[in-house]
Amino acid sequence: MNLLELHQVSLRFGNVKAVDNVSLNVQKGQFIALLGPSGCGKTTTLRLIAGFEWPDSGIISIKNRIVASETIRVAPEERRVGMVFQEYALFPHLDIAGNIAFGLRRGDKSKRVDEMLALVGLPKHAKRMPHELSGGQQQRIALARALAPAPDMLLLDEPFSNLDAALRIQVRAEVRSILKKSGTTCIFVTHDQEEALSLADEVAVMFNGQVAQMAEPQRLYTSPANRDVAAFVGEANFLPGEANGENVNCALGQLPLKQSAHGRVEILIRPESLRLVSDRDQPNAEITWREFYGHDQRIGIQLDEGINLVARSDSAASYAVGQRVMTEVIGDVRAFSD
Amino acid sequence: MIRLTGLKIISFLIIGVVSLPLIYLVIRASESGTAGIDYLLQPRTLTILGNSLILTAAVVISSAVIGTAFAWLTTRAKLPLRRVILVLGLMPMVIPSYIGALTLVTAFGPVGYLQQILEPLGVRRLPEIYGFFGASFAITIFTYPYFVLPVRAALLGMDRSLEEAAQSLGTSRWQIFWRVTLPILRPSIAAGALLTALYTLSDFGAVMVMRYNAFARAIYVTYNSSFDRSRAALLALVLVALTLLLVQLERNISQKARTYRVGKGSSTASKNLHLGRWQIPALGFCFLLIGIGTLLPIGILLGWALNPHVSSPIDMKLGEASWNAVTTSGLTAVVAALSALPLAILARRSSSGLSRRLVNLAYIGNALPGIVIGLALVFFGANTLPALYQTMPLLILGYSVRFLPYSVAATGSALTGVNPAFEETAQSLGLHPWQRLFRVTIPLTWASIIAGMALVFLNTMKELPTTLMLSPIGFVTPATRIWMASEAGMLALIGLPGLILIGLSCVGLAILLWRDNLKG
Repeated sequence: MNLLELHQVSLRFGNVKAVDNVSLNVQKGQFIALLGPSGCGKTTTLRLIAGFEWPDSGIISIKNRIVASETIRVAPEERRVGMVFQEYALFPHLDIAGNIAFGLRRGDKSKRVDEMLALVGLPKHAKRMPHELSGGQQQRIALARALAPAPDMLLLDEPFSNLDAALRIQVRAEVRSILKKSGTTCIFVTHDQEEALSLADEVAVMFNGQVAQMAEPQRLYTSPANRDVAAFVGEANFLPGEANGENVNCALGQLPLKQSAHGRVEILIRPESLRLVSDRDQPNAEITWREFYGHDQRIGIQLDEGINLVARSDSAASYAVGQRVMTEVIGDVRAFSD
Repeated sequence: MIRLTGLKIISFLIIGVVSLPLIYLVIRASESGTAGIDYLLQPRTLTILGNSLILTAAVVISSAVIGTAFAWLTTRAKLPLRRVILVLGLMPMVIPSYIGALTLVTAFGPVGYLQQILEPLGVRRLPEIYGFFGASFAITIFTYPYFVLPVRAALLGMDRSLEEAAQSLGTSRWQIFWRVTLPILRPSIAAGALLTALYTLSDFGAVMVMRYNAFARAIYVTYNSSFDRSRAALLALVLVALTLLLVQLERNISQKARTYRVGKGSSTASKNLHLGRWQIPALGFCFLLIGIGTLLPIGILLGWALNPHVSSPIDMKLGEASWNAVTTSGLTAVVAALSALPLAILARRSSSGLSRRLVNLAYIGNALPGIVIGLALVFFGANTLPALYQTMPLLILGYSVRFLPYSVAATGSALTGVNPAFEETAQSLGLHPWQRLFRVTIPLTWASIIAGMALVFLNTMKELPTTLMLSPIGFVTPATRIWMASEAGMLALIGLPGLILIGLSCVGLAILLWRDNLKG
C-alpha cells in the first residue's frame, strides 16, 4: 500500500519553479531520502508533504486520503505527519519531558515520555532544558518528540547537517536504528550523497524542482539515469567517446558498453574502475597528484591526450607524482548521449 | 586602549555629577527628620502611593494586551497596508503625554467632540474623563508602542520552525500562541512592562491634565504650594524607591524567564497567516488604535492651529521657542554622547567589578523621573551653587542626567559588537591609543552613537517637568508654551506649538529608523 502519494505536484515562488511536476510514491515502513544540491526543491517538497506549503497544482495524499489538491486543504496539525527540523526547534521554554509530551493529547503522558526517552537512549534527561544538551542529544530529543504521538510518517529536514563530522556518523547510525525499531515511515532531506546512500532504502535525486531518478542506493550509483545524477551521486570521471553499438572508442581505447549506444557520447568512469599499472611498457598517463586517506587513496592522472581523471585505489599500491602509468578500465562502462 | 586610570578618573567624575540629584534629595529629605517619617505614613501619602501603583498596574496590563496584539498582527498576520499601519501605530511615541491627554479630553470629555456628535441622540453629557480612567486611558494610548517595539523584535527574531514544529505535533493556531509564542515572548513582555511602568510612574503631563493624584502630580503640587519643600523631596524619594524596586523586579523576572536559543534557527520565512473571518475585527482594532492615538491628536492640533478666530493675547514667540528647544536638545544629545563614551569603554575594558557597578550608576536617570531631577537640582542650585540656579547649564545637566542611560546603552551595545581583534590589529600595526579610538572604535560605532543621540534629542524635546522647574526666567520652548496655554485654559493656542513639537520629534524618530535601514 502506498502510504504517501504525490501526483504531479508543482509549486512556484514568483518566477521560480521550486517544485516542478513531482510524482512520488512511498510505501509503509520505507526510509526515503530526498537528495539534491541546495535550491533543488527538496526541502520545499518536504514542506509540501508536511502541509507548510500548498501546491499550485497536483495532488498529495496520505493513507489514500487527499490532503492537498486544488480544492482540498488539510492543515499540518491534522495530517499526523511528524517533522524533525534542521535546527531541531526544541521549545526553549520547556524541559525535555515537556517537549516530548507537547504533541500528546490524552492518556498517560508521562508513561509515553518515558518510553520515548528509553527509545532514544536518554532515560535520565527528562528534567533537563534543551540548551543543556549536546547537539546529538538535542537531535534525539527532537526525534522523540516527533515520534511520541505515533505519526503515520516522519519527515526530517537535513537532520545531520548541524553535527560535526565525527558525531554525524555515530548519530546517523543511532537515528536509523531508532527509526527502524519504531517502524515509522521516514522521508529525509539531505544534500550529502554519502548520507543518502548509506541510510535510505530508496533515494530520490532532485534537480531544479524535478525528480531525476528514484531508486535503491546501489542502483542509483551503478545505473544513474543521466549525467547529472551520475555526477552528483558519487565521484565521476567523464570522457568523450564515439559509440558504435556494443563498444565505445575513447582516449582509453575501446571499451565495452553496459547498454548499447550510438554516436557521440560521454562515458562515465567511476574512480575505482580505473586501474593504474606502473610496470607496463606502454604507459599512457602521468600521475599529477595523490591524496592518501589510509583505507584508500585518490590519484590524479593526466592522459597523454591532456584529459585529467581521478582514480581511487586501495592503500597498498604506492605511486609518485610524475610517475608514468598505464591506465585501464575495469568492467563495462555506461555512456550518456550529449 | 587609553590608560585605564585616566579613563577611570573621567568616568568617576561623570558618575559623581550624575548621582548629584539623588544625593541632594537624600540630604534634603533627611533634614525633616522624624517628622518626615510621620509625613510618609500619613493617609494622604499612602493614597498617593496606592494611586500610583493602581495606575501603573492598569497601564501595564492594558498596554501589554494592546501592544502584544498589535505586534503580533503586524508581524504574523496578512494585513493590507501593513507598513502604514505599523508606522502610524508607533507614532503615539512622539506625541508627548500632555498633548495627548489634552486632545483626549477635548475629544472624549464630558462636553467634548464625541458628546457633540451624540447630542442629537439626546446625550447631554458624557461620564467624567478626569481621574483614574482618563489617566490610565491616556497613558496606555501613548505608551503601548513601548510594548510593540520589544515584542515585535522578539517575534521577528523568533525561530519560525518552533511554531511549525508545534503545528506538526497537531497543535491548533490558538494553542500555538498560548503554548509556544507567548512563553517565548516572556522576556520581551517583561522588558515592555518595565518600560511602560517606568514611563507611567514618571509621567507628569497626563496625570496633571487628567487631575489624577499620582506621585508626579503630588510632588509638583507639594513643591508649588507648601513652604516645607522637604516634603516634596520625601515624596520624590519614595518614587525613586518604587522605580528601583521595579527595575530589580524586571531583572529577576527576565533572568528567570531567559530562554536560551537553541541553534541559530530556520531562515526559511514562513508565510503570514490569513486571518479569515478575523480580518475585519483585526483591521478594526488597528484603525481604532491609530485613530485615537495618532490621527485624533494630530487632527485636533491641526484644527486648532488652522482656526483663524484664535488669537493669542500674548506673543507666543514660537520661533524663539523652537530654536531654544532644538539647541538645548541638541546640546544635551552631545553632552550625553560625550559622557557615555568613556563610561561605555570603561564598562567594557575594566576587569574590576567595582568599576562596572559604578558605571551602572549611569543608569540612575532611568529611576529618576523628570520631576525628581528637577526638584533635586532646584535644591542644589538654590542652596549650593546659586550662580547656577535657573541657568542654561543646570537645565542641560538635568536633561543629561535624565537621558544619559539612552546614550550609555546605545554606545555600550555598539562597543560590545566591536570585535576586540580589530583593536588588537590596529595595535599590532603600531597605532597609539587615541589613534585607535578615532580610527577604529568610533568609526565602527558611530551609527549607534548617533542613534543614542537621536533618542536623547527626541526625549529632551518632549520633556516638560525638568524644563518647567529648571528653565532660566524667560526661557520658552514649545513644551512650556503648551503648558502655559493649557494652564490658562486656552487650548486652541497649543495647536501650532504642539505640531512643531511633534514635527521636531519626528526628526529624531526618522534618524532612528534611518539607522535601522542602515543595519539592513
